[in-house]
Amino acid sequence: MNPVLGVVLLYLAVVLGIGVAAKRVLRGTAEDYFLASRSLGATVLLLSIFGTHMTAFTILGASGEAHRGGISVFALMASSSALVVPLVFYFVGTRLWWLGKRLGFITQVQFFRERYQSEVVGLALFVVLVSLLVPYVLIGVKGSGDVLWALTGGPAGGVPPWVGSFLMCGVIFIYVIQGGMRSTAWANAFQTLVFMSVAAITLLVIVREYGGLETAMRTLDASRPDLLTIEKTPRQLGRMVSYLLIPLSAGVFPHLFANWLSAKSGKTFRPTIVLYPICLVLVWVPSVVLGALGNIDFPPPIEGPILVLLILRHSGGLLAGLLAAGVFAVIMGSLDNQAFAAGTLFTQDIVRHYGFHDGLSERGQVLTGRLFLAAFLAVALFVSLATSRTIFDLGVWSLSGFAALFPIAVASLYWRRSTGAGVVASIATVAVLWIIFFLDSLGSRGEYTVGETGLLPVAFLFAGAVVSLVAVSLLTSPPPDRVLDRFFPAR
Amino acid sequence: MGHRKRILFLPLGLVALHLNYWMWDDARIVLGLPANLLYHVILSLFLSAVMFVLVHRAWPRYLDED
Repeated sequence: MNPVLGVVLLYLAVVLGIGVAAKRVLRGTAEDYFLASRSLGATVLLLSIFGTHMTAFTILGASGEAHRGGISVFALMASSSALVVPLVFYFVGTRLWWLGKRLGFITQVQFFRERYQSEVVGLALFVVLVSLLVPYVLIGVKGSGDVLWALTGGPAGGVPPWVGSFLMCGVIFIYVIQGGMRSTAWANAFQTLVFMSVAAITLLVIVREYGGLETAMRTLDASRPDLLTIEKTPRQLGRMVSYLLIPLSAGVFPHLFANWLSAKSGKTFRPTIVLYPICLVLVWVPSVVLGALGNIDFPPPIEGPILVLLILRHSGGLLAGLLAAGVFAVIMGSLDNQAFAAGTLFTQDIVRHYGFHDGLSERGQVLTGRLFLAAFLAVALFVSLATSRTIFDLGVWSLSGFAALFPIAVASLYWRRSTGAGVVASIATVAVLWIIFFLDSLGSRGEYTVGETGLLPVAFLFAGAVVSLVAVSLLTSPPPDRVLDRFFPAR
Repeated sequence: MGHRKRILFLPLGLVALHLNYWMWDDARIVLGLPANLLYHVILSLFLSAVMFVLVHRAWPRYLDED
């Protein structure tokens, strides 16, 4: 058997075992299946949230960007997340957990519908959240198949891409339906440890081949000094500011929301908030450094992910298998939660709310969640087989859309005067601007910025979301006191 | 200004540190890493320390109530 495939199969077997083991403590209630009975401790919460937040881009995309643009990608994407994401957890995540526990919410849509007493708010949010999740899920499914194919030989007899995608979706399906959120969190905790370890091992092995980090950087500096600095232009400054907005998407991701609500207590958030920047450094530094160093052996243009090329050139065999397992880990860690979150939204906010007027039995909710998960993964698998690699370009658009919904999340928690009409106006503004910018970007080459300013569409989406939210809220009647008293209790 | 209100200014200070425009063209290699990359790694570790202070000195009490 191909050693890469062997390592991947072994890895999948371990993940399956962990996920299935979580079934032993399943209580059969809806809250237990969808939120692990709000019982996750600090360590599992940190590893699960981090694993859920990191995607295939962290390992493959970031190294690819560093190969093209140099070390600035760390400041743009990792350092900005180290700054923004813990603050999002502190100001938004903990408060949503607290309200969710007090008032019994399971999904974001439930929370917003109740907060603004509006079915329209709930439906608009459901449509937008699921629409933005779909490209994300497809990227994960397609990415797993592509990587396994490349690492097992590519055009020279590699495992067909559909096999990798099918294996991953199959394993996720089996362990998620067993124990729901608890299986997902336990498996994610393990997967996070795997991809962190793989990133470190890969860096050590390849840098040693170059004669050490200092030598490797000096070699790169001799041929491509531009990759070691950041271009000092207004356009780059615009990019840097824009990229600070992208991590705000963490405040709106349905899959992170489910993790937050599964926390055992407020205190369990503390290690996640404190250690998040360190976790980012551990994973992103190897990825960015290796991507940049890849220019020594593989100057652009290149065929395939730079990390895969480096490993096949400098080690192969076992390390290639470990990388494949690491990529599967980082993809599965987010994909299982995304698919599970989509299933939770559909079960709770469509089937239970509209089909049964919130009266569906506990068993019925769990069964519906499982059936939807199966259908969702099957559709994602088939669609991913029919899509081209252009689907990967949708990733940043998906993130931009989520980030632009952040103002309504903050307003719902901290601005008593915000209204349902304001929230609907904000969501509609984001949707319209998103479509306009997306259509405008179709003819452009390279990274699209609005009017060549360096500012990404997310900056304008965000500004539009804030202005419409504030303006329409102030023009409409304030929410009734009985509602505000529930969401802003006297303390 | 109250303790909690002052926290709202924290992100602004951190953003200023993040946009280290003054050293973007610094081409030195320090400890095996480009100076800019090393700066952002150290900034990330500093952010972790800031978060430690934040969750221990300004933790909302209501989160720990039953």
